[in-house]
Parts: sequence; structure tokens; C-alpha cells
Amino acid sequence: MKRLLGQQQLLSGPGTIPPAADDPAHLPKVSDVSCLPVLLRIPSATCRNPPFCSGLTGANMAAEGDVDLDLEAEENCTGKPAEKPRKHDSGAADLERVTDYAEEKEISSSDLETAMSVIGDRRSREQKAKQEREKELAKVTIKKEDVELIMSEMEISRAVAERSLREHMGNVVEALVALTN
Amino acid sequence: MPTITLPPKENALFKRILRCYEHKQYRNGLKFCKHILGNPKFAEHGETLAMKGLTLNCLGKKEEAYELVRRGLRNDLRSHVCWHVYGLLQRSDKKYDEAIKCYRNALKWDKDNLQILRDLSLLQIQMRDLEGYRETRYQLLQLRPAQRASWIGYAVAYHLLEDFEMAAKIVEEFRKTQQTSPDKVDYEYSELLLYQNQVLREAGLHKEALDHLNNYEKQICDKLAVEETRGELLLKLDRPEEASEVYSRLQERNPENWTYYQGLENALKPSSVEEQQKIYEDSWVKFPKGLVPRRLPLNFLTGDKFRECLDSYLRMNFSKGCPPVFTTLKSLYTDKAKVTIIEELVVGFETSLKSCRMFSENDDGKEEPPTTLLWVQYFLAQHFDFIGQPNLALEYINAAIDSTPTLIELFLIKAKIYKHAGNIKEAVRWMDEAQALDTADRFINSKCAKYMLKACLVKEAEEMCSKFTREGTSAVENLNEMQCMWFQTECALAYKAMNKFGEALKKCHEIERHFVEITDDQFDFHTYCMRKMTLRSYVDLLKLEDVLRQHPFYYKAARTAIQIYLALHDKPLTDDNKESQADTENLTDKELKKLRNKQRRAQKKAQLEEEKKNAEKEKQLKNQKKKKEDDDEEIGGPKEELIPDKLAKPENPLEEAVKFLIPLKNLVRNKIETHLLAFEIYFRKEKYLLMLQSVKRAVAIEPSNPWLHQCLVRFFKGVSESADLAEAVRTVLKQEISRLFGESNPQSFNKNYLSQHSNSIPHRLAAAKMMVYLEPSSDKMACEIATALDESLSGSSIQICTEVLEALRDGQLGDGQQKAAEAYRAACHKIYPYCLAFMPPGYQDNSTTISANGDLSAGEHDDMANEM
Repeated sequence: MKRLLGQQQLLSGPGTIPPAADDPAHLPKVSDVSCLPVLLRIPSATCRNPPFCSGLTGANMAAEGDVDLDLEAEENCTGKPAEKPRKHDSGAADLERVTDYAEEKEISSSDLETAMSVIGDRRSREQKAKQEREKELAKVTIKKEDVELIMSEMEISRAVAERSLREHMGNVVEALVALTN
Repeated sequence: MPTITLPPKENALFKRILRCYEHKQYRNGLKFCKHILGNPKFAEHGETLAMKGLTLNCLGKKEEAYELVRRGLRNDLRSHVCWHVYGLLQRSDKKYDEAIKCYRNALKWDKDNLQILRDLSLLQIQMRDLEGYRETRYQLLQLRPAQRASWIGYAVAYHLLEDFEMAAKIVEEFRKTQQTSPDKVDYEYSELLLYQNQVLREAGLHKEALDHLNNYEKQICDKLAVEETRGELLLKLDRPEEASEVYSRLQERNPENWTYYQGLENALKPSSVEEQQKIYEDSWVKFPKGLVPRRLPLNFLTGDKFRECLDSYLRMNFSKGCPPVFTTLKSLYTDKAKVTIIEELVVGFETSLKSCRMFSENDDGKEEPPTTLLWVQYFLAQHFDFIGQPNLALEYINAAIDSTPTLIELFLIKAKIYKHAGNIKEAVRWMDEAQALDTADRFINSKCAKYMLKACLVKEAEEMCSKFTREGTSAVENLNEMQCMWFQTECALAYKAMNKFGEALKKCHEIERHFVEITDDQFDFHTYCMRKMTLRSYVDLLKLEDVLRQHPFYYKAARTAIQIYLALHDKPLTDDNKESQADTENLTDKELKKLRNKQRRAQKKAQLEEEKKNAEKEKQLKNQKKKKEDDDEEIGGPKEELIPDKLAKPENPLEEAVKFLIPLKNLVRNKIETHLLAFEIYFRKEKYLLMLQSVKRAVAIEPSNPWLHQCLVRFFKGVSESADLAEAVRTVLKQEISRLFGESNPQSFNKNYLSQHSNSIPHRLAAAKMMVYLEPSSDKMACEIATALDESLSGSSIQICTEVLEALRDGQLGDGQQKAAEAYRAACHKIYPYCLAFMPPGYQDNSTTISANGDLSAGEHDDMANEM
């Protein structure tokens, strides 16, 4: 991220980045990007786009239909003969080809719900555990010079250095011993 | 900066830009861009600028593209289009990390955009951000729960995170929604079932897996996989009777698959060697021609039973004329008793076959054909070569060649014997002879090229290879294109041996690039495999790619590169100390000038060619008719050219070495050499903790390794002498050294080591070198220790003796050891008479030059015949 932001700043000069750029609350209204309200939203079956532009194919469809046609467009796609898969195409067309789309959905809807709920429970638990661990780690106070010492001595990135230092409760000697194992 | 909103007319134009882009009508697209941007009101419209950039990128104008896309982004930081375009641009440049960040930003402004999520997930799996991948797949599943890719992707995410139960659960939920009729063959469903079964097994749910297998057996197409899995599961569930049935059935299918015998053994659990042998004896009856059931008992039998079993195994093979029979027995050579039995038996065969054409004089029965004797001699030659008796080996192989001078295999072995005996030149000669017997045989052609490279005959090797490479391009280029890594590895070693470090590094980097390419090629499979449901292979592929660089090809290239970079750090090349010096020292000034000019011209020519190629590429782009394969190259952009002269003068050789080292450190932890190479780099960088890390890991593998000992002594000395260490670092070093080694006085450490390993030559050499390192005046004693060659000492080999000789010559055992070196050389020559390295000074190889086309003139041939 650092590098990317760095480029931005370099390009735009100070002050040009909207201060709220990161805050979803300040999201511009959809109309701000009115020219492409559903750009990239509709998966497309057209494969003729150059290999890495699959993300933009939706725009084509969007230009022709409107938002509500979302699903229809998708179904229509399946009817078209799949064109030769290309390298680095994200294979949108074939991936989208869900067999018996509507039918399958009906049959599995209840199953899907239970399955989804199982998955959801599991996920939230996982996230909680992870967050707690992160919180605990975040509480540990570490010294900047310790981090830098670890970075230069072990030739590792700041993130790894910080993490190992936190995991050893800020004890630089222990962290270093662990890293040399 | 406020976002510009386009009025309807311009908006329509913008959509046409997108369409043009998709249809590769880049010129038209640019025209529309011009329309919009031409209006001063919209001259800074971010999304149009970005699209213009993306379009230009497709026309090969990368720099302009970046500039425009960035400008577009700067003008419209809240547009997911701009961010997405920037991501696509980065991705086309293979900057996956950066592309991920761009997609993330794009998602900030349109968080449910399926296409961006999908693109993001592909990059995440490519970069192995598994947690992130799971998150993204979860979002995709939430958004599109009715698509099968959503489910499969999510399941694979859990599988890769090794949460097998969860993965199995998801696959099961998904499977339930699939409608299949039991009679219809549905390969994709079959693959899904097998994948589910694999996940269940990895989850340790053996019972469930077996039930699953039994339930769906009918719908699985891969019947062999079903049966093999069933056997494995029954064994795990401790149901030996059923398991043995399964394995018996499998044996019927293929009696030459040794895993089935192992399965049978595991099922029947023989309590004694007799019972174990019984299993195989049964198979002898069932499969009288089977070789595997005859070979396997040799692993566990001993003494007379071993001899008996070996006898019948060998007779079968010799009568039939089976060239690789020695190779199949090689693994038994760790057991000295078995080696003796093999030798006795086969030598007996040879005597008896010579006298009465039978394997044993006591045999009554039919006589063996004359070829049997030939194969026995062929075997004995390999046997004596393997146990280090080149004289006997040559005797047998020459006898065989005398009887059948047209059999290629014999010459191959003769060459091999010479190679092992240390005379690579003679080896090349014989390999060339073998090659000349059948110039259409690519295997022997490659072997010959390899031997030539080992003898540093690079030009000749290239010529040899060119018989099989595509016409029109140079052999080297073609071999690089074909990722022919054995050739490049050997080339690198040859150049290194000739001190042409630049050329050698070029080869190492080429190999490294092959690996980068292989990793990149993986990208296509993320979508393809999910679509085709070949999930078992897909997960295997991902796991393979994770450890790709532990492949020996990478290891060899990395080791060579690291060694060269270390040498370049210790002694950087200066302008007049050029690598080409070796070639040029015999030339006069004029000739030198000529040569330099020639080199310059050649370089220029290469440059021109490169430019031409680039121009052509661009042309192709313009024509928009480029083939699929070209996409890759074009997308990756032309890679930086590897220029030997530049490579040989790196700004920071140690950093370059570290680049090669990192994958080894991560993937080849079980090899001590990895950590020792790491030490050598960090020692020069004076990173004490990383040195500690290296020695700690090495000690865990082989504490008494001679090279490791040298590392440790230097490490201790370095630690005790370094003054300006950070407090924490010093504490860690002190604590860990005393924990691991107790003491750290280098002198006494070295002494102890020597007394502990005083009967091993490699260890003595290490200790001797360190004696001189610690105390230069002790060179006399060190020399004595290193050069001892008593028969009571172990570990003698051509390699270690060469190392001793080198150490004497290059001053590692003190200066002025020329006399000792000469005496040592003479002593070694007595032990290894064939070895080139120990030949007397002034020894001229009397062999004539090797002609690459393999036709030895008649005269030369006579000479050789006389030698034989």
C-alpha cells in the first residue's frame, strides 16, 4: 500500500487527495459515476476482449441494458457458444455458465440457507478469535528501535519484525532467539 | 478534485470506447477518447484518461499508458473504473501485489462488484494470500450462492487453509445441489466426488471417506483410483482381510506395481521373514514373469536366502538381456554383506559362462546364448565402477566391447567409468564414440553434450545439441526457449570452471527466469481447473508451485550463482582483470584489438537483432493478429537482457546472492548446504544473528559436517572480535552459543574437533584449514594433518583429495606449500592413476581433439583399439 500511496501523492501533489477518500460514509452518490452505474457488475460472456480486460466487459452489456437485466444477461450468456478460452482471461464466460441456473436455485434454496448459516456461524467465530488475538497483540507496547534492530539484523520486513516482537511481549532478545531458530 | 460527470452524448461515446477496447479496435477507441478529451470541459475526465491509457497499453506504449492511467486516477480517485483499470494495467505487468491493492481500492467504491471480486480472488490465490482469498470467495458466495464456482472456490479456500472438515462440509452441501442420474457418465461429477473423498481423507475421516467411496463408486469414472483409495482406507481402518483382497485384485491388474505388494504386506502383517517371503513366493506362482515380486524380497532377505533369491532374479534378467538390472540393485549397495554376495555370484556366473556357457557348472540344462555373458560383463563393469575399482571395471567393459563392438550401452558405461575415475576427457571421447554409433539417438546425443560440458567443451557441446534443435536458430537460444535446464546448468558450471563468471551467471539467471515463468503460467489454471472440476489436480498443482524452487534444477543454479557472487565479492573483477583474460593472455596487442572489435561487433549485432525483434513484435500488435502465445511475452513486456559483462560486475554481489538464497532457505531446509551457503553470505555481510540462524539450522542436520566446522570457527572468532554489536544482539549470541556449544574459544574448539575426527580426511582438512586461519604460523602442522593419506583414514575420494590439493595451492594451508602440493599430487596420482587432476605437470593428454560430428577418423580409431 505504501508504495501505491506514494505514487499517488507524487502524482497528485499535496492536498489533492480528498481527505475522506477512505471513508465509506463520504462515498460519492452513484450519479457521480453516472456514466457507468453498473460497470463491471454484469459478468459477460464476450470473450473477445483482450486477455486482461475481462473486468470491463460488463460495461458493454451495461451500455445496452440496464441494471435490472443483470440476471437475464447472465442467462443469455450461457446460450452463446463459448469461445476459445484465452490465456489470462479470467474465463468469465465459462465460469458463469451455471447449469440450469433457475432450476438449481429453486431446489437448493433451503439447503443453501442452512449451509450458508453453518458457514456464517463458523466464520464469525473465526473472525472473533482472530480479532481477539490481534487485539491482544496490539496491546503490547513495542519500541521502535527494537523493531528496527530486528529488521536490520534479520533482514526481514517491518510487519514481520513487529509481529514477532509483539508475540514475545516486546522482549527483543526472545524475539531474536525465536527468529534465529 | 471534483469528479466530472459526462453529459449523455459524451457518455455514449465513452461506452463506445469500452466496446472498441473489447473488440480490440484500439485505433477507433483512441479516436473516441480524442473526441471526449478534445472538449476542454472534459479534458481531464478521469475514466476516459484511464481508458485511453489502457488502450495504449495494448498498443505497446507502456510508459504513456502508465502516465495516462495515473493521471486519470488522480482526477477521479473515487472511481472504481479508474482503480480497476490501474489494477489491470499492473496485472498485465505481472505486478500482482500492486494490482491487488488497486482492486481493493476499486472495491471500496463498489464493494459488490462481481468482476472485480473475481479478479481479486485470482490474484490472491496466485499470491497465496489464502486468508484474503477465503474472504473474497466468501463474498462471492454471498453474492452468487447459486453458482457452482462460488462453492468450489470457497471449498478450495478452506482446503488450502487446511481446514479440511469445513472444506468437506462445503463440498457436500454443494454436491447435494447437483442433480445427476446414476447411469449417466458425468466426468466432472466424478472428479468432484474424488475431490470430496480426498478432502475427507485429509481431514482424517477415514470411516466417512470409505462410506463415501462405497456409496458413489458407480459414479466415479477413475476405477483404479477408487480401488487404490479403498485399499489405503481399509488399511487405515484396520480391516486387513478386506484390504488384502483389494490389493490382490490390484496385483492382478498390474503385477509390476510395487506399492501393491507393500499394501499386501501391510495388510497381512507377516510376523517373520519367512512369512514375508511367502507373500512373494505366492506371487511368483501367479506371475511367473513378474520382476517386481522377485526384486522386492532382496530388500529384506539376508544371507543364503538373499543369495538364492538374487540368483534367480539375476538369471532371469541376464538371459533376457535387461540393461538396467544394475540400476535396480543399486539401492542394495548400502549393505556391505549384500555387495559381497552380489560380487561373488556374478563373478561366478562370468567364469562359468565363459567355460561352459551355463550360469553354473553344476547346472544341467540348456546353454545360455552368448549375449548372456555380455550382459554379465556389462553388469560387472558397473559393479566395480560403483565400488571404486576402475581397473577391474575397465577390464570387464573392454572384454564386452571386444565381443560386441556395436553395442552403444557398453561405450556409455566405459565413458562413465572414466568420468568416475576423474578423467573427463577420456570419458568424452568414449561418449562421443557411443554417440557416433547412432546419431539419431537423442538420449546418447544429450549425454555426450553433457559430458562435453563437464570437460568445458562448450562450443562442441552446442554443436552436438544442434543436431536436434530447431533449424534457423542457434542451439543455445533454442534450448533456452525450450527451458532445457540440464544443459543450462552444465553450461553454467563449465563457464564457472573456466572463470567466465558473467557467462555462468547468465545461465543461472536464465534458469531462474524459467522458474518465474512456471510460476506465472499457473495463473491460467485458477479458472480453468475450477471450470473443468479437476480439483484434485488443481490442488496438487498449487502445492507443487508452492515448493517449485526446491527442484534440483533450481538448487543447482542457485548454488552456482551464490558461489560465483561470493567469489565476486571476495575478488571483484576490474576492467583489466576481465573474465576473458584467460582467452586473451596469449594474444598480441593487435590480435587483442581485433578480438575486442569483434566482440563489440557481435554485441552490436545482438542488439540490432533484439531491436528488430521488438519492432516485429510491435508490428504484430498493430496487425492485431498475434497469436495467443505471444500474449504472454507481450504482457510481461520485454525482459531485461542478460549481458554477461554486466552480470559479472554487480553493484552488490551479496544482495544478488541473497536473492537466490531466499527460496532455498524457505524450501530446502533439510539440506545442510543451504544453511552453509547462507552462512557464507551472512558472514561476509557481518550479520551475526543470521549467521547464528544458519549454524543453528545446520547443526540440527549434521553437527560434525566439515564445512559447518569451518563456519563455526569463523563465527566464534568473529563474535569474539566484533566490538560494536547492539546490546540485545550480544545477549542473544552469548546465550545461544553457550546453550548450543558450551564453549566458544575457537582454538580449543578446533582442537577438540580434530581429536574427535582424526581418522577422517575431510574432517582433518577442515580442522587444518582452520588452524591456519586462526594461527598462520601453524601451517606446517596443518599441512601434515591435511595431506595424510594412510589407508586407515576414511573418507578418501577424488573430490576431497582435489580439495586438499587446491587448498595447498591457493594458500588456505599457508603460503609456500608448492613443494608439499607437488608431493601430495604424486601421492594421489598413485591412488587415482586415471584422474586428470593428479597427472604430473606437463602431462599432455595424448588424445586427439574431439570432433563434434562424432566421426573419429580411421587412424584415431586404431589408436583406441590398441589401447583396449
